[in-house]
Amino acid sequence: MEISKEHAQDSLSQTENVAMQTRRRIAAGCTGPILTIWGTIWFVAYLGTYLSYFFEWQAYHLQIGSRIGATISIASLVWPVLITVGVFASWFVSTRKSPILYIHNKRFGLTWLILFLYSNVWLVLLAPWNEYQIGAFAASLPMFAYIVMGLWMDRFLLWLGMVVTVLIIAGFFLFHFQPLFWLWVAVLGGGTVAGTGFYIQIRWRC
Amino acid sequence: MAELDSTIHQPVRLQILSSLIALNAGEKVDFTYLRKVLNVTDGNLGAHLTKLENLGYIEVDKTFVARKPRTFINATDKGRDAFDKYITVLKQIIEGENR
Repeated sequence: MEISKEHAQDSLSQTENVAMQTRRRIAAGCTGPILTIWGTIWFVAYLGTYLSYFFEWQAYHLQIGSRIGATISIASLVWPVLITVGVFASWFVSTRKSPILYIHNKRFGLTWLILFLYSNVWLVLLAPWNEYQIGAFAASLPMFAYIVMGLWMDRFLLWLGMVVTVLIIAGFFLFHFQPLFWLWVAVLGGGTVAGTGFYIQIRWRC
Repeated sequence: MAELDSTIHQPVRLQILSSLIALNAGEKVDFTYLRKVLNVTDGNLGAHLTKLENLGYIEVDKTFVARKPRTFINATDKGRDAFDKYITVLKQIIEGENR
C-alpha cells in the first residue's frame, strides 16, 4: 500500500489529535466539575476570611475594640463547613461520572493527592509560619499542579499557572499583613480554580 | 521495506485505535463513549470493531454494570504493536525513507 507524504502527515496528525482528545475527555470526566466545586469553596472561604480580617483590622485601627471574636470565629467556621461540603460534593460528582469509563484515569487524582500530602508534611516541618505565608503557599500549590498538567495536556494551564503564581507572590509582598491579601487570594486562587473547572468542562470535551 | 497496515489505515479504524492507544494498558472504554468521541453511528462503529477484533487488535467485553448491559473495548498488546508499527511506517514515509 503506497501513500503520499502529505497523506501520511494527515494520518499522523489525525492519530495525535484523536489521542489527545481522548486523554482530555477522560481527564475532563471528573476534573472539571471538581475544580469548579473547590474553586468556588476556596473563593467563598477566603472571602469569609477577608471579611473577618477586614472587620478585625478596622476595629483595631479605629480602636473600637482590641479584637472582635465574632468575626474571627466566622473564618474558623467557614473553612471546616465548606471543606465538608466540598468532600461530599466531590464524592457525588465522581460517583455520578464513573459510569462513563470502565476504569477511571487515576493519575490526576493521585497527582493532586500526592501534592497535598507532600505539602502538608513540609508545612508541619517548616512551622512556625504566619497565616499570610500559608495563604500564599496554599494558593500557589494548585498553580504548580496546573503547570505540571499544562506540560502534559494543555499549554493554557501551563501559562495560567505561571502567571497566577507570579501574581500571588506579588500580592504577598504588596498586601502583606493587610486584609486585602485575602481578597486577592480569593479572587486569584478560588476564581482561577473555579474558572479552570469551567474551561476544562467546555474545552476538553470538544 | 515496511508496508502500511491497510486495516488500521481506514479512517474510522485509525481513530478507534488512536483513541484506545491513548488509554493505559488494561483500561477499557465504553462503547457509547467511543461512539461520541468518533461521532459515528452504532452500526458503523460495530462493524469496524468486529474487523479489529477479528484481527486480535482489540478486545470487546460485554458485561453488566448495575444490571445494565455495557460494552467495553480495549486495545490488545497485538493491537498496540500493530499501531506502533503503523506509526513508524507513517514517519518513514514523511521522512522519505519509505513509499
